[in-house]
Amino acid sequence: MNVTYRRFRSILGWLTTGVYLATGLCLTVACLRISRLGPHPFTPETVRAAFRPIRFLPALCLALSAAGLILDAFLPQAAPKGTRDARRSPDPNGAQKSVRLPRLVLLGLALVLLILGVAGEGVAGVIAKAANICSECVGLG
Amino acid sequence: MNSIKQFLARIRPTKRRLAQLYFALLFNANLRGFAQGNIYRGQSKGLCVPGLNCYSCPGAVGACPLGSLQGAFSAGRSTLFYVGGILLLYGVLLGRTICGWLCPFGLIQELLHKLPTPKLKKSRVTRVLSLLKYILLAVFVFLIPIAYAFRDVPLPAFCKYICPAGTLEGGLGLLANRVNEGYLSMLGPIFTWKFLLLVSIVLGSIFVFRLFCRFLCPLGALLGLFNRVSVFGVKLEPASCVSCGKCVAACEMDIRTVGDRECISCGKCMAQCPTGAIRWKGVRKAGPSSDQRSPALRLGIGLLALAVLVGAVIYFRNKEDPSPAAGYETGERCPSASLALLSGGTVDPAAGGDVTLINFWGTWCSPCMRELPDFDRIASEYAGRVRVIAVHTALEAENAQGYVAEHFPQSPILFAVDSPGSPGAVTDAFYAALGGRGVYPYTVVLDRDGRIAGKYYAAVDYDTLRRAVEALLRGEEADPITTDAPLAHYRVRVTDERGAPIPDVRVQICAEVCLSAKTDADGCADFTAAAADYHAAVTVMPEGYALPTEQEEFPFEPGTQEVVIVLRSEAN
Ligand code: SF4
Ligand code: SF4
Ligand code: SF4
Repeated sequence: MNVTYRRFRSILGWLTTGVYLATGLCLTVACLRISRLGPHPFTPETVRAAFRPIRFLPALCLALSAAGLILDAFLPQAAPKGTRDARRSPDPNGAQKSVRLPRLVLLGLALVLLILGVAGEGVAGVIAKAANICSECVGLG
Repeated sequence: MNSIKQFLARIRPTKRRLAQLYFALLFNANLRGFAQGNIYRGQSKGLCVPGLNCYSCPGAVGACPLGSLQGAFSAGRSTLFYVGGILLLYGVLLGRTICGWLCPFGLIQELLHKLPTPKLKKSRVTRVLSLLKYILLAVFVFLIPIAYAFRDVPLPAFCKYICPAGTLEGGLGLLANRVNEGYLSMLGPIFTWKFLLLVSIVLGSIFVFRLFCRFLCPLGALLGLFNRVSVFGVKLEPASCVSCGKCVAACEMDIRTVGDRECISCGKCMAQCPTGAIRWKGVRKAGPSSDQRSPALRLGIGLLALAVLVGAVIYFRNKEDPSPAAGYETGERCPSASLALLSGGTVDPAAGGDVTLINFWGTWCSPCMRELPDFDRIASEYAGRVRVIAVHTALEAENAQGYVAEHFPQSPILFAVDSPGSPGAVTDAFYAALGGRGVYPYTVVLDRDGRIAGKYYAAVDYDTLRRAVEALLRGEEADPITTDAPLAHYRVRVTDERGAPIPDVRVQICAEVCLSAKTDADGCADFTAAAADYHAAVTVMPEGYALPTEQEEFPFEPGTQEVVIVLRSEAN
C-alpha cells in the first residue's frame, strides 16, 4: 500500500514540477511577445490578450500542489537524508573569540550615526523616497 | 484518526512561521492600499523595517532599508547617516535573524519551497554561488548608486535592475489593481527584464531553498557580516560540540559553521545536535527556552502581539492619507521636483499657486515646434496666473538652447534643462511619474493646487489651451483630449547600402504626435501608436553614416506599416 502510495506521490511530484516549469515558460513567452510590440507595448489590451490563453495554469498549479501537500501530510515521513556536506564538521573554534568589544563599538557607532541623521533631518530624505511610488522598484525604469 | 492527527501535527505552524507571518502583515498593515491601488504616504514611511519589504508595495507602512540606502547616497549626508545607523543597529542587534524570522520576502520563498516537488540539495556549487550576493551588494547597492550620486543623478541600481521584491510587491502589487492600468503603457524593456527575473526567482525558489536569499540578496549579505557579533541569533557552544557535522547537514543554508554569515538563525539545527551544543545567544542552557515559560506568560505575549497587529491594521485603515497622491493619474498631485532652467534658477512644477502647463518637446519633433508659439501666447496673455514650463527632451538636447535663443528670446515660457547628468535636470523618473517619454509632444496641465487636471498625448492648439486654462482659473475641470483612434504597430528599419542592419540609431515617427525610439540589433525600431499617416526620420545620424539623398522624411506607404531607411556609409 505504502509503496503504491509513494510511487504515486513521486509521479505527482514530477508532474507538478513539469506544470510549474511550463507555467514559467508560458509567462516568459507571453511577456516577450508583448515586449516585441514596440517601446511601450504594455496596455491593458495587449496584457489581457497575451495572458488569456494561459489563465487556467494557476488553478492547475494550485490543484496539483494541494494534492501533493495532502498526500505528503498523510505519508509517513522519510528520515532526513544528509547532504553531501554531512561529513563536514563545524569548526567550533571559529566561534570562540569574544565579540563583546566589537559589538559595543558597533552599537555605539550605530547610535551616533542615528542621532546625527535624525538631528540633521535625515528621516525626511527617507520619507521623500518611500512616500512616492518608486519607478525603479516598480520596473518603470 | 491517527493519520488525521498526524496531518494536523504536520500542518501546525512553527513559532518561527507565525513570527514571519506576523511581521509580513505588520510591515504591510496598510491593507487599504491594496484595495485602492495606492501606497501609504504617512510619517511611518520614514522608518526602515528590518527585512526586504518594498516601500512601493501598496501595503507597506515603512521603508525598505536597501532602497533607502541606495537613495541615501544622493539624498544628503544626514539621510546617509540615518539609514547607515539603522542598518548598523539592525545588524548588531539581530544580524540575519531578520532573514529567518522577520523578512517577508524570505517567508514568500520558504512557502514556495513547501510546494511538493523534488528539491535541489545544497552543494559546493551553491556555496560558491552564495558569494554572488556580495558582488551584487558591492556593485548594485554601493558602486553604481555612489558613482551616479557624484553626478547628482539618483540611480538605485539594485531596485531598478534586479530587485524581485520590488517587481512583485511594488510592480505587480500596484498593477494588479485596475485603477493603475495607466501605468501599463509606461512599462518598457526594464519591466520585461525584471518580470522575467522575478518569474525565474519564484520558480527557482520552488526547487531551491531560499534561492534569492542564498545567492542574490544584498541585504542578507550585509546582515550576514554582523552574524558573529549580533546580540540575538544562534550560537555554537564549542565545549559541548563533538564535531559530528549533523547541524551542517541538516541546515538548508550554505553554512560552514552554525552562526556564520550564511546562518539565518532559524534554529532547525538545534534539534539535530546530539549534545545540545547549539543554543540561542543569551540563553544559558540549550533547548527552546520559550517552552519553559509559564503558559500564562506565553498567552500574554501572544495576545499583546495580536493586539499590536490588529491595532496597526485598524490605525492604517482609518488614517487619512496625509498628503494627496503624487503621480501620474488625473487628480493626483504632480511629483515635486526642482527643475533647473536654461535661464538660471529652478522651478518646482508642483509648487501650485498658478495654473501650470508642462510641455515636453524636442527640436526634432515638428508638431512640438508648431505648437510652441501657442504656449508662448498663453504664457504672455495669462502672465501672473499661468506658468508654462517647457522641457526639452533629454534625448538630444544640444541644440535646444540655440533654438530657444533664436525663436523665443523674450518668452515668458520657463525652459527647463533636460540633459542627464546636469544638476537639476529633468530625470527619467520625473517623466515616468508623469507618464511621459516616448510620445511627443506631451502636455500635462496642473490646477492651482499642483494636481494633474489633464494630459494631452497630442499637439494642442491655442484654443484648446485657452479653454483648459480658463476652466481651471474658474475652478472647473479641464477637458483633456483623448484619442479613440485604434492602435497599430509601425516598424522603422535602418540598414546600410548592403542591407546590413544598423543598431542603436535614434529614429522617430511623426503625424500629429511624434514617437521616438532606438533601433535594436536587427536595425528595427517598433512603435505602437494611434493609427495615422506617419512619416519616419532619423533623429540623430549615427557616426560615419549619412542619408544618400536630400530626402529626410520617409512616409509609410498607405497600407504598409514598415519603412526602410538606407544610410550611406561615409567610409565608401
Ligand atoms: S525595489 Fe527592492 S530594494 Fe528597492 S525599495 Fe523595493 S524592495 Fe527595497
Ligand atoms: S536574504 Fe534578503 S530576502 Fe532573504 S530573508 Fe534576508 S533580507 Fe529577506
Ligand atoms: S545553522 Fe542552524 S540556525 Fe543557522 S540557518 Fe542553519 S539550521 Fe538555521
